[in-house]
Amino acid sequence: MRLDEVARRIGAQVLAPGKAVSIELEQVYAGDRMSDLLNAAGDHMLLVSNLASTHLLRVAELMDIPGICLVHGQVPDAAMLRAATEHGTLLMASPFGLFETCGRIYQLLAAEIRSTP
Amino acid sequence: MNAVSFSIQGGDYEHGGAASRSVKEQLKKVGADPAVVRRAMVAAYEAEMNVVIHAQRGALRATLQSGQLDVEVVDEGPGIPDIEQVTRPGFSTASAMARELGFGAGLGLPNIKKNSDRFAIESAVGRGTRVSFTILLKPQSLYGAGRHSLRIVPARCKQSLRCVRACPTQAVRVFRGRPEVLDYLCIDCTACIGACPTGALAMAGTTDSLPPAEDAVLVVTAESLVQFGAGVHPERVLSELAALGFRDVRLTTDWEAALRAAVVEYAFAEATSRPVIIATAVTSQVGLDFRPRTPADLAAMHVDAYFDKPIPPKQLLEKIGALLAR
Repeated sequence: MRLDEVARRIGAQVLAPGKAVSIELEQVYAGDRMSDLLNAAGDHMLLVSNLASTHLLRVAELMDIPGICLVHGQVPDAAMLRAATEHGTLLMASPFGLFETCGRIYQLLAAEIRSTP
Repeated sequence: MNAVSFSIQGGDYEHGGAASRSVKEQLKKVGADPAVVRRAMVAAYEAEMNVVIHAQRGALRATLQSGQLDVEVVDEGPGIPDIEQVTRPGFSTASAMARELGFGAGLGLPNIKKNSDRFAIESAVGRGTRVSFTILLKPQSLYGAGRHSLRIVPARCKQSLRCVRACPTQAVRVFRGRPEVLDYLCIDCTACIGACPTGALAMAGTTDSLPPAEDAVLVVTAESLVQFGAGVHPERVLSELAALGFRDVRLTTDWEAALRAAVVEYAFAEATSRPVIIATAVTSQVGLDFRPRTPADLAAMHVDAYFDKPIPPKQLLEKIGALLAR
């Protein structure tokens, strides 16, 4: 499933479209520990995080992570938005918490896998 | 060679990662494999953030040459009292602020180690820490090229670890009670052989495996004499080898020079009666360069045809056929 479609289906608001809207989502990482994130990072990954910080974007940029989903409807500051736009990282904000956001994404992907022959 | 140098300010979370990004740009410029870039970024970012989190200031220097990325991160900071402790996963002294930002999981140094092909750390308490690591851009091809010339006798290893300390390139390690040599790092300097007190390491071809040599001429490359160091005159090495019982010991240098002379002599002597085709793929191997630098050079060569790369094969064959038919 494409990243922009994931955003639409879980009811997240796309704050910066990035250049990666058409990337197929293959991996989701939810967590705030940078070292774990670095180890798990991939170029078909959506990063779901509580941290609305520019570090997160920096790591996404370094590790070629195409999309970040913030939770609790967090509005990132101007610096983060600018950084996302500059680097072309898709930035979305889910109205739900970390747990529920992940649950919704999980359901979407599980349904997709079930319907694939 | 590409080298970048970046200063890192302690506590400057705002710009943390900028040095790593410039390393990434260098790697992308040389077309490094994305998986290699990813490993390099994990290691570089962790090392850079360590300075931001723990030190007052520091610098990251990265050099990209000979198929490898060497990174050195030096800081002025508190230093590390127990290095063994900090390279253990989960140990961290990061501040509450760093932890709030997602750092301080105690995985920084283990992550650098895991994602690099060579890793070293040294530290002085109250002064600072120096972390360096190397990432090979093409590990597979380097593994295959040039095996080391050491013979390992595991049963003799008493784990003194002197070989590990003696090795200048960190190519030796002792793993599960036996020495291991990493091909791609070993330069065959033989320092480990000299350091081993129990003879667990030796050259792969030693005297006891040489065939009867009374009639044999031993040919040695000049490069191999370097391993004896500047203090040992090449003549002495040759005479010692001769003393083992060879009829003669010669350096390949003589033959290389003779081959070079023969090529030139042949080209001059035969050029009037026969077509001479010089394939630069061959001549450059013996250190001759026939490539004309200027149109005047080319005119002075009096050639019937000169092809520069790339040559369409068909055109080349046709021209050679025409020249031979003359």
